[in-house]
Amino acid sequence: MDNAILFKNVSHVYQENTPLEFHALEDVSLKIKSGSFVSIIGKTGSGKSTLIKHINALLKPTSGSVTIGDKKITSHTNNKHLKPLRQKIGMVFQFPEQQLFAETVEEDIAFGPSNFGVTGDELNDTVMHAANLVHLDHDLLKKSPFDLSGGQKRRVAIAGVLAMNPEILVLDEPTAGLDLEGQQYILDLIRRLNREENMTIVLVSHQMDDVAKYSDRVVVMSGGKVVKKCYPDELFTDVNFLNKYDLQVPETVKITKDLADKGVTLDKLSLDADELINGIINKLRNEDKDE
Amino acid sequence: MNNFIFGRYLPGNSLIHKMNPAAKMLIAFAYIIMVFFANNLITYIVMAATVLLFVLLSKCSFGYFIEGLMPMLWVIIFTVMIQVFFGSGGHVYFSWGIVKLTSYGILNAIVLTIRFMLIIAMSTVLTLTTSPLEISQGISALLKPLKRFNFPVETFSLMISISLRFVPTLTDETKLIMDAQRSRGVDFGDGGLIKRVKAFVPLLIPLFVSAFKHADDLSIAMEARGYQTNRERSHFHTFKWKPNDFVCMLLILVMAIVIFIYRS
Repeated sequence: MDNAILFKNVSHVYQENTPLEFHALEDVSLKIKSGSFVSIIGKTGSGKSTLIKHINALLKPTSGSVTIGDKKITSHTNNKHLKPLRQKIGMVFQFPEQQLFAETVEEDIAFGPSNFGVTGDELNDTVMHAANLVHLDHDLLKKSPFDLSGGQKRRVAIAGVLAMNPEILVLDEPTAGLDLEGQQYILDLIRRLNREENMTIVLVSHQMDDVAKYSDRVVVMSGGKVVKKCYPDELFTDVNFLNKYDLQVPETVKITKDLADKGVTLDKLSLDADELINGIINKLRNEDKDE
Repeated sequence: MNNFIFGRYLPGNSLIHKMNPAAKMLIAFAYIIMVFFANNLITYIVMAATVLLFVLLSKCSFGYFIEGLMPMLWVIIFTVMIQVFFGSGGHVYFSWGIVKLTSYGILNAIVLTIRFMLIIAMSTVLTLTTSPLEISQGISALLKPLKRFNFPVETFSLMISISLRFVPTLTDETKLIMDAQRSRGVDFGDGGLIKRVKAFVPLLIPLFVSAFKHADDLSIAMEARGYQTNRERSHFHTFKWKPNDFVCMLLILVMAIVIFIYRS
């Protein structure tokens, strides 16, 4: 089923009609295709978190509408009929390990699906499947989530979201505070979910290297507005634009540019470090042949 | 929720902002007690005029005071309803079973509403012009005399300022965890009583865990910076008693005398 996410002229105002009124989103229009991997970037306070909370109706637009598949959310949408929508959308917030509460890891992972009416053997299978997806050791399932290490907790929390079998996965800086290995692990997991399970991924990140490497599309936000939506290579070669919005240039782009300055032009721009290395090796080989 | 009592402080430069927090708290406290002594038109007008003067001196727009009234609106409506329908005495206008509409009932309801509004207005002046830190310093200044009886004033005031400091932090965390659990299918405020209470378990446990973690981190950070209990600490902002403090306290004293003269 098609589960495109469509924002149409969405504005969101916090504490409307009070002296503390704050416009977090202004006239945002956006389409995220089913099965794509989209990154949302921008400075702190640019409206990223407000934007993603609209995807599963934690916040409702003050004006405009958000459509997910065939469900339309406007300011008048009733809170009562949101459960099917919330089941379809997995939300991984910043530091998701904060949401752990159950006595055992198993119970915590089962919490989401059981809220949506999954029971018995089916529940057991779902929990096992989710634990396997994040490569969680089965010995850990009977332990208390509070006895695990930071990286393990994060994986349990993500498994708890994946157990709901979401079709869209929204992640707010899922790698913050993890060591390099842990970061790599989570990102590869997200990519696997996107490619093998055909999950739509919406990723909020400050790590431009990750954004460049993993995403199909990038949305840049600033001051509550979408200022650019494009392909990653389009964005990261536009150095003026990156500087204007205080965005980092990924290492891969920097290296390619440094090489070009020294007179070595690569055949194409690679945003993935491994691809870049291969590109450089090929270039060296070809030069050897030419001599 | 966020704007209720805490975190409503509006930085400013008015006469009231610059007052000694201890003086402000004494004034607010005295005023609230006096509200219960007022019992006729003249005394209420005097009370209202006094609070209006403080509101004007604080230079905060009226919008904030209306907003301060909002969270209490249901409490006021509820008590007014009880007074109106179950009050007794005086002329009976309407009666149906135990429900009676009487002149005393209506009068009581009006008096109650006025008292509520006066108290809320005065305490809003206090919370709008005094930061949580100043409030805790004010409390500690007022408690100083208790030191003679071995009351740990310094520790107590630090306790208050730490708890005030963490209210916004914990509010933010509550919102975040609520959002996370809602995304996992929890419906806060739906279903029967037991179901509703159960829905709060996944919220309260993470909140307690994080509160303990904050406490741990904070105590380590404080010890690392040389904190010791019950030692006299100096403050970055020290408050002296200034002429405007005495003028304002004198004003309240005059108001109190006027009310004692004119109350029937």
